[in-house]
Parts: sequence; structure tokens; C-alpha cells
Amino acid sequence: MRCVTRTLVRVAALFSLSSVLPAAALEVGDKAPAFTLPATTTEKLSLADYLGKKNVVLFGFIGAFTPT
Amino acid sequence: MAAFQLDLPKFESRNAQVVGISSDFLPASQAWSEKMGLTFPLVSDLPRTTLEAYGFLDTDPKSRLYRYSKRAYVIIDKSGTVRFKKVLDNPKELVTNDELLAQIDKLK
Repeated sequence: MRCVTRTLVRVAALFSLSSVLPAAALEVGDKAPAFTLPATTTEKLSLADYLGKKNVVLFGFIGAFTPT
Repeated sequence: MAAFQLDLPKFESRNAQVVGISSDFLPASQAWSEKMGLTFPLVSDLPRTTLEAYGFLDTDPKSRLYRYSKRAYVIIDKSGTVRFKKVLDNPKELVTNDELLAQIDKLK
């Protein structure tokens, strides 16, 4: 009985851990996560705007007025 | 940023759209975009959900850039699949436009 309890506790611990850890990192070959965000050139820009039309180079930068 | 603008015709000739993303609020990005004369879009991800989804966000509480975007790059093809990804931990590093253009050429 003690053994069963111990196993149950371990399983529960694993589950709680997986909910805390971030989802697997985005990798090459994955579907790009969709987004719709305010943009400088248009009110809202969606990744979907380019699907089937253009390749997209999305680059992250630290912030405005930072050296690039 | 200026380098992207300078090489924009090279990206455009490869049918690639350049988009910048940061956690800045839009007026800051707009002011900067104007100052730099950028014609490609910068998007504002204040809630940081997209930065997180792409793995761009610095999540190290000890980092000076905690909760900011790292310098990072993905190339997404027309079908919406990620074909290249590089996230730099050192903000002084850079992926050159030549490398990005070469990656785009590989898509064809």
C-alpha cells in the first residue's frame, strides 16, 4: 500500500511539474505561432496576412533606441 | 535595424517580408521607426505572449534584459512553417543579413 501511495505521489509530482515548465521551445519544422499585434505600418499585423504569399523574417529586438 | 532597411530590396526581391518585434509599446516603436526611416513594420508585443511563444523572451530574472526580447531571428516560409531559428543570448552578437538571405535562398 505504501508503495502504491509513493508511486501516486511521484506521478502527481510529475504532472504538477509539467504544468509549471514552459511548453517545448519552438523548433525548426514547427508551425509558426499565429499572432496579431499593433504595428508601425498598419493598425494590426497578423502572421496570417503573409501565409501563402510571402516568406517572413521575424526578428526580435531589445527595444526602440537600442543599438542594432 | 538600419542594416535591414539598407538590405530591404534584397529581402523583397526574394519575396520575404521583414518584421521586427519587441515588448515596446507602440508609440516608442513608431518614434524610432520614424527616426530611422524604416519602411518595414515593427510590431508591439506588450503582453509578451508572442515573444514567449517564439522563445525570444529573456526569462532569466538575473539578466539585465529580463522580460525583454533577446536578439533573435526566425524565417517562416509561405506555408507558415519555421525554417530557421536563432536566438542569441549575447545582445552584442548579430546574425548578418547575408546569412538570413542565404537561408531564404535555401527555401526555393
